[in-house]
Amino acid sequence: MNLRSLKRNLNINLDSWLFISIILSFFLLAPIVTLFTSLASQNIDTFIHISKTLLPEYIKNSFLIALFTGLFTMVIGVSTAWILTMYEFKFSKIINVGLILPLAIPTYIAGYVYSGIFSYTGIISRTARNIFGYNLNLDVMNIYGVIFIFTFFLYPYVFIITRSFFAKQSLSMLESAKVLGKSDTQTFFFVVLPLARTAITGGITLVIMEVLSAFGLPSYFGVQTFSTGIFRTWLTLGDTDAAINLAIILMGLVFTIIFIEKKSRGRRNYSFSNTKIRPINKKQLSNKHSVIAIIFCMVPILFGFIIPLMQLISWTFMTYKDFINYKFIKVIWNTFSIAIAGAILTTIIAVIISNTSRLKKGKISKILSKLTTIGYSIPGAVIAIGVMTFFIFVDRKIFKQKVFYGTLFLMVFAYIIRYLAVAYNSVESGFDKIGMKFNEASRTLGYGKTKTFFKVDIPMIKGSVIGAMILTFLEIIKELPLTLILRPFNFQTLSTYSKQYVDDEMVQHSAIPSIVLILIGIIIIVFFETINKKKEK
Amino acid sequence: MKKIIPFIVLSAGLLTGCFKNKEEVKVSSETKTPKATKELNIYTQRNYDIDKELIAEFEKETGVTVNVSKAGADELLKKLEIEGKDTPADLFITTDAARLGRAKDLDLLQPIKDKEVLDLVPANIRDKDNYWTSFTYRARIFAYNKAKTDPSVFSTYEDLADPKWKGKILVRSSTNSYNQALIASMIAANGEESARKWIRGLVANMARSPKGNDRDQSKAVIAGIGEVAIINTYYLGKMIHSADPEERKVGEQLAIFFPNQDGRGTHINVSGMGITKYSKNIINAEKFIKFYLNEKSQSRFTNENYEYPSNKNVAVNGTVKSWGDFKIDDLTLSELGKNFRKGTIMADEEGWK
Repeated sequence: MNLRSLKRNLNINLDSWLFISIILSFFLLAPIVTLFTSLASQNIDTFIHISKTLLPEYIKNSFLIALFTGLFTMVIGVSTAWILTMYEFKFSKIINVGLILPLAIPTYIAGYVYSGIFSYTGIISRTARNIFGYNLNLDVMNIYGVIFIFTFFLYPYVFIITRSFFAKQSLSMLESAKVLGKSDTQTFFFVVLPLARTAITGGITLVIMEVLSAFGLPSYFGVQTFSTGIFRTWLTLGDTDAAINLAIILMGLVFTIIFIEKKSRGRRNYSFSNTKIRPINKKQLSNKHSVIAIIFCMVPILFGFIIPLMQLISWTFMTYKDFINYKFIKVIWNTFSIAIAGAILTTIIAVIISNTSRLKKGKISKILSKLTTIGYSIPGAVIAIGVMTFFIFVDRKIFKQKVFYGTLFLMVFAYIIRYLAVAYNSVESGFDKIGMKFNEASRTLGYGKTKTFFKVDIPMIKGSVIGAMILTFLEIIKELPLTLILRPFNFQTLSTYSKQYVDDEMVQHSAIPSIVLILIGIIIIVFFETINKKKEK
Repeated sequence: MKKIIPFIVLSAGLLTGCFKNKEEVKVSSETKTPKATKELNIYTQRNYDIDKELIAEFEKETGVTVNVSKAGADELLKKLEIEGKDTPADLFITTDAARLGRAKDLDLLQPIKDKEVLDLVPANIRDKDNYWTSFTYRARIFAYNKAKTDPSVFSTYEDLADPKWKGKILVRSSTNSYNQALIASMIAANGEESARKWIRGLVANMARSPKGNDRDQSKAVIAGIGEVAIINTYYLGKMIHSADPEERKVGEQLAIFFPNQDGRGTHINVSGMGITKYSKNIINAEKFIKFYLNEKSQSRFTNENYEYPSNKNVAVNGTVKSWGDFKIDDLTLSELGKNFRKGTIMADEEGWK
């Protein structure tokens, strides 16, 4: 190695951004690594049992759910995003916000609600029986029901990311296509879709990761997936080795998906080259077409938001008396404050790691950035136990007394591991859009990396950063298994509050905490939309 | 840098705010004179409204501050295991004797010393070495539609494996602890091979793939999807007194059959509690057990939650009483812990989802 390359290497190694990123990644990965060290005993009896009896079912169900949810969320998310980007019609502004609202409802609550609606005492069967005298047996508690719910409550991920991509698209390509004689439909399929491919796969990847790690909905519906399998093997059968083997298979799957997504992004390089993007002139739809557009867009809002909300409201009327007390306000405050802290810290870390990975072309930073987002695909309970084990170890060996364990710090730390991917994806797409041109210009003009970051990059990706914070906030207030395990004594959040009633088979009582949770979500989403609007102006 | 400083300050502020809260609790827990503590930390799987109310009453009566951490039984057990001697928990409460047995086997509990309190509870519903005691119990029974089914067709759990029940049995998943305990009791009563055959027969007779909770099984009986549902007694009580009129209707159409009355008796399971091995507030834990087992608390469990009280001096609630007296399976509940892992694996192998 000659002197010059040595110097260059040193330069890379001493880079403070990379250094901070490595430290952060180390801490975020430590709890997960801690779990793997318990693999030492190598007792594989249970794993053999599971491979023979349950594994095929786990693989089949997880695969089908991921495949169809991915497909359906793509169809709904992309089509609605396109309609709202290109056309102007009555109520289109309200619909634009309405299409994101399903994100405010946790999928497990959607599960309780839909099983309630379709149950024997639910609104549909009871109407059929009491009014028409007809005995109707409906069933949503199966794999189709799981796919249905994941689709209608997770498509907003695809919608948001695709819509923001469409909005930022340079009009010239669309115009060129038009000039060359392509119809709207042809333009959409042959120009827009290939261009938007990266945004769409980004959204679908988020959906699939969320689906693979989800526990509440599939377990309530009795559908066995990897996530329910890991939980059962580990906690019920008490077999750590077998559970970790399952988790490794699951992570392998997720890495494959991420790899495919990266590959598909690989050749793209369409960052915009000036700060002013010409907004697309929306086409005013005729009355007849407006009606079609409204009906089309209302379907997902109806299933993903209006129907479940109405069911919850009707349950609220049965049970509201039990909730009017100051303790409930404390619960709301807990939910809110922990989610704000978690969202801000997660986003800051996402920005640091994402910026490092952008500035460093080397392998290390790329690998780190991917590793730290793996938490999104690991079931919350697994992360929780990893974090617990790690901090008990730290407290015992380093501090010789309880410092971290039993505090809210553990919860926030676990949220960061779990949701870094969400913040990271949003921040990264912001960086992608501005490309390196402005950064390079600034550096050429004499600003350092850090100064450029604060003076040039951050102001340009502000929208994405706020978006990252809001998405993470939404995820955290909805989170359940991790919160249940790590929360300190007497610490209730809205999600744990509603969960305990469902556990006790008192679904109606879970309505009020659920509704408040959803209201907070709605406020945040509307806030998000207003900021987006401002940004566009 | 300037721009993120407010964020960092804000989030750090929120966090330290939270820490502070926690430290207050910790300081009091570290006063290590075992007799004078003013605190009790509970890990519980149960959090019915009745539990919350009784805990509040206990606090008022004794001046002890009770801290509650509620999660699934398996998660709590894992927590106790990982925390080891550092656990803050004093009491472990769960709704399944098999889990209590497992806690004992994992060396996470210590014996309860107050003999006077233990004597209130019949020996078959507490641990033989006093590592835990139940405070309520309930039976796992058959629920059927009064108008459609004559109870003379029912006899035993074993009978449900007979092909005559094809397409008629409703039961929830074997991932549920009530079913795991039932399977464990079948192993204890009839041996492994016979229990395996029973599971196989039961699976073949199921009206549908297992899903939903116990209330869903009862509703499916009234909906005519199957003829008999295996459920816990108190769910019927709760449906009869539900906030939802349509659920009340379902509850009123159902009747209960206690299986195996001519043999070993009906399988029961308990809500029970044990003091953790590393408890720092043993006195308060003993006090709490005594409080949960006193006549006032016990009659509230049966009157408001439709459970059977463990205290033998307390009368059962009217609704519960109307189901009739029954013979309890006298297999000591302490044995369930031993068979439950085997039974769960067996259920997997035989396709009980």
